Parts: sequence; structure tokens; C-alpha cells
Amino acid sequence: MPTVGDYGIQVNRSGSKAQIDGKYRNYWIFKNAALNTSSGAGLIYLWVGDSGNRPLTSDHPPFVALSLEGTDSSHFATSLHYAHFDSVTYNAWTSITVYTDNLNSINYMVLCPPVDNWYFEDTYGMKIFNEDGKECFRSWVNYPELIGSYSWSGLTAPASPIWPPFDTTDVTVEDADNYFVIVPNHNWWWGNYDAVTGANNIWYYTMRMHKHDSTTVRIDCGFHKGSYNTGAGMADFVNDNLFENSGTLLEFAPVKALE
Amino acid sequence: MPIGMRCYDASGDVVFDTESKVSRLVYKNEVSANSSSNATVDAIDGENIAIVTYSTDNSTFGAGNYSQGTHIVTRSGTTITWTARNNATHCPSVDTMILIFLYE
Repeated sequence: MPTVGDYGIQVNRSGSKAQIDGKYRNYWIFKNAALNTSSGAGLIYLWVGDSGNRPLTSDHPPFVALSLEGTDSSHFATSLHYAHFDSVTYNAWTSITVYTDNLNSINYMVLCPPVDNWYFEDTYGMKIFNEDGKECFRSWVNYPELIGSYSWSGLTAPASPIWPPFDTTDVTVEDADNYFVIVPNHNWWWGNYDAVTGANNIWYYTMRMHKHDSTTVRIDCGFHKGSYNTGAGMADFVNDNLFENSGTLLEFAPVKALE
Repeated sequence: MPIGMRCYDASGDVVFDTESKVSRLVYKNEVSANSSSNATVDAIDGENIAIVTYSTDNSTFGAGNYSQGTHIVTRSGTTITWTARNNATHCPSVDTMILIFLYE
């Protein structure tokens, strides 16, 4: 039963669970595309804005999900996922860091809530606004379904630079072809700190996810050296307890056209 | 008789069907670096949630040789707790966006 303070529109599906709840902002798929990288590791910047170059604001925080391709861990690596969002400057960017060792293409999708007053040519259907007058649902965009949240833990931080990955853990999912995003319990750490010269050395604590089989996503970690590495400085990483050995894997089932 | 709502796109394809579910953003908070606190989110009582965090501080990103230490976020019942990093040399505490999604 509605209570005082409820608002918006609620649609229930069978089982009395809310299918649409107009109180909340529902995240839709703003962008769904392939990410091409020519280098083994890189920081990829994604512009997130509408055709009028209006960026998202902190009121419309996006995040990024990466899909899995292939099952060969030696040739597929994604995932150092790092979504940064600048909520202050005009040229707001969402950036993700992706490590690939061979494959040059990774699918990704950017998720964000409905953005007020963004221009869309196909304006039809229904909008739902919340009590603040913010759009919380539009009927003409695609919404991903979050179907699983899986905790993982127990990865061991490498004691020295090592690659291929040092430790691994498996997560059983509904379908390993779905979209995923890894959310560390603390922070998805990555770095390019150079404890020796202060510049030019690049070291990565890297966690990856890849499809192991149809229902298994494998998460592994390693310590990857960049263009130059002496090995010094690694103890600092370990001693600062920056390595995250646990996290959460979110599984999104892409919304598909049924007819 | 199906229950729920169905939406079509401009091509007549179903983009949202009667059994589709949408994960809903039920909590959003941008918390400051070096601050720790908690909040009660009644909407998550007894429900599955997903927590997403990321830095909103651009000042240390890419400019220095540092990573960023977003807050540690945990859930206990309806209480969401965020704890700042200890400002480790290589991983300073930063402003953090906390997003909590409900899915059921």
C-alpha cells in the first residue's frame, strides 16, 4: 500500500515486485559500443554528453560496464575498471582504464539516469518524474536489468612483479556473455607511481575478468610492469595495503528487443 | 494475462516488457575526502543492492603519480557506512561518489 511520501508511478510485475518505481531514477543504457585500443594498456576517455555537448552533472552520475569476449585468458584481458567523473568543469569526462594484452576491442556500455532537457529526436511515450521534478523514467530508452551481485574475495597480492596473473578466483554467474562491472569493496586500485625516479616508470596492480566458461567469470590479479621497472617501490604498495583482494561483480542482462 | 508494462521504440521493437526489471538508484551521495560517516536507507531493507563507488576528484588524477583512494563503503541492514582512506602516500583520500542500486 502506498504510504505518505510516496509519489510517481509504480508498476508491478507478477510476484508483486516493483517493475517500475517512479520514486527512483532508473539507469538506462546511454551508450553501448566497442572500445578499440591499440596499446596493451591505456586510459580510455569517454565523452559522456548529449548532441549539444552538455555534459552530465553530479546529479546524473554515470558508470561503465564492460562485457566479456572470448575465453582465452592469455589473450583477453579487460578490466581494470576505473570510472572517473568530473562533476565540476564544463568538459566533464567519464574515463575508464582498460588493460588489454592482445585483443583490441572491448564492448562497453555507459549507464546513467535520465538527463533532464537533453535533446532526443524520438520524443514519444511516457516520462515519469520524481518529487524533485527530475526525470526518473523514459519509455523510449533501453534499461539494463541488474540480475546479480556476486561477492568475491581471497586474492593474494603479488610479492614481486609478475605476469601472467598471480592469483585467481572464479565467480559463478547466470550467463558469462552478459555485461559485467567489477566493483571492489574498497577501490579498484591502479597506479603509475614510481618510487625510484618519480617519473616514467609504470607499474600496475591489475585485476582482470574474463569468461572461463558459459557460467564462470574468472577474476585474477597480477603485478604488471610497464616500460621500465626496477622492482623497487613494490613493497610500498603492499605495505600501504592498497591492493584490494575482494569486491563485487555486477551482472547486467542486456535488454533485448523481443519482437 | 501478463502483468506489468510494455514499451516500444520507434521501430516497434519492445524495449521494455512485462517481466523486465530495472535496477533503481535509491541512494546517491558525494562524500568528501577524509570524512567518514553513515546513513540510513530505508528502501534497501531486506532487498538486494549493488554499491558502486568512484572518485569525483580530478585534482590528483593524471597529474601526479598517485592513485586515488575512494571511500570504503559497507552495508549492514539499512545502514550504509563510508570510511575514508588513511591518506596513504600513494593513495590519497578523495571525494567519492556513492551509488546504491536496488534490484529485486
